Amino acid sequence: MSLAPRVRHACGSPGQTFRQRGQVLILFVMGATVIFVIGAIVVDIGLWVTERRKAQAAADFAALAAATQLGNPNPFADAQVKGLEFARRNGYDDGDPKIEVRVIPNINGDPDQVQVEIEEHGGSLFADIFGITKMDVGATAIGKYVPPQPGQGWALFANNQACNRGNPPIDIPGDDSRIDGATHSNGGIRIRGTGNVFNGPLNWVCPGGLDDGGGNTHPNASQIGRQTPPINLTWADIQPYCTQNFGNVDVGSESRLWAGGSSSSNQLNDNVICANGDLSLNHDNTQGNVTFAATGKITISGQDNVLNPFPALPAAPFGLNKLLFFSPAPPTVARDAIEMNVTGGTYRGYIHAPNAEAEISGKFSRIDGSFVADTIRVGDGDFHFDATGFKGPNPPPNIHLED
Amino acid sequence: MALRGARDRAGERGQALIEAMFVIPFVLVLILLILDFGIALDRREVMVHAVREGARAAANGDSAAQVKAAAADQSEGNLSPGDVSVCYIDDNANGFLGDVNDAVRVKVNHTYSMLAGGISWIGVNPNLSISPTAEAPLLNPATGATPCP
Repeated sequence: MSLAPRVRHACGSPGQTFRQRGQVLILFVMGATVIFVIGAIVVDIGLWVTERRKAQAAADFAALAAATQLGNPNPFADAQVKGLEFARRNGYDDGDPKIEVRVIPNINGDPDQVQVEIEEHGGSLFADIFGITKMDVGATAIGKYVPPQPGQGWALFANNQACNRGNPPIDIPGDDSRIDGATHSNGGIRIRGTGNVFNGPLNWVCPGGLDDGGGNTHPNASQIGRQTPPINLTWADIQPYCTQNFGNVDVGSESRLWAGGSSSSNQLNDNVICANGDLSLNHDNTQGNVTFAATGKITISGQDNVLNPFPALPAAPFGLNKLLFFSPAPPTVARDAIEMNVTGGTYRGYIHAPNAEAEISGKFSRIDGSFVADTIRVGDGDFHFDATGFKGPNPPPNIHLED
Repeated sequence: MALRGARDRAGERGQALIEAMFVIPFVLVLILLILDFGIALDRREVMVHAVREGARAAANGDSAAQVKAAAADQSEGNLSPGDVSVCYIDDNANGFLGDVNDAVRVKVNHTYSMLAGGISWIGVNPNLSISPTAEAPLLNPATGATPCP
């Protein structure tokens, strides 16, 4: 093979060299155009992917927020508001003409699912040159609401909201009590006794609201928000159901309240015993299905009593069916609206003093129910509170994203 | 004629080298800037991802320390927990921060120092502040919540 043609080409005639002028320019223009097009595509796709991820994150948060509202009385409207709000907080304001946010409830016929769709009608940086003037970004997420399962009942619930009270709303100077259930104070809690075991959540509202002298067990203790009492009765709520009415009454001395007409039977007849004044029971080994209600103070003392609520009280509308003792007396009438000085025995039901203190002292008694009062004092000790089957704090619902 | 052409080419020797000396630095600076902005954009994406992961953790009721750790963990080593701030908004207006249906805001503060730091003389700030924010609904209560300013 001869090298001649190449040499001739390299050292070609001036005419040939002249004809090749501009060749590099054309190659450069073509190459630069290709590089520019590729660069433009990469940049625009990169922008699109970034926006897409941003929209997806906003849709996820908005769907979760919307799903939190599905347990409300007006779920769809509330979900709409919340979904739009969280889309806006994460950069997608439905008021922007380039952005559309849609909150669609009842997805797949499931009222516990809500879908959030975000669309952004965006432009492009370079693709305009090639006629691609719109690059829409869309993201969708479905939030799912699973209703909360009932938790442990409130064994002790104090509704007083004062944070700088001399005695906090729940005051436990006693020792060695066991609380199988939740304990909540809308103010603070003081535990000066030792050996008390809280096997449920122990919650208070006031900052620094737990004053524990030590030696007590409460693995699930935390400050939380204010809670609504599980029961909040007035005298008018119970009055229509009274089966026995008195002024001040000493139950032990009212023969008509006892089986066989005598307290020596130790058996109380089934009744709702109402006192427009003070009510007291000072008797041992009493048994009965009775509800005590008084506008004044209720005083219970004795050993080994076993008392259950009157069985015929209705659950609706006030939750009376589990009511054992009720006094709406304010502190001006009685500091302790309900005072129990009991040893042994079992008391089942709500012990309810919405306007003043409910106090229990003594030893070894069992409360299968719930103290719900303005303030609560647990003196002495060795009590066993068990709120199984009673109303308690609702754990949060399970909110998650559906795939 | 051929002799003159040879003499001309001999006179042009080194011309391309001198041209290259002028052009190559500009090309290198251009490549460096493109690289630098690319890294900065990537860093921004990493920060946005980190703050979203932090917000997801916060939504589940994780403590502020856990949220900060989660965000730092997702930042490819570019953040320490101290660079992450977590605060809460009393969305349900019940007077208590950190319960379900409140909102949590997670923010990171990160500065990317550009490799081409010397370009400040042309008026470009070589330190890019990257501070993305994400807000999530609280799905579980959080303890020790601090209010957003």
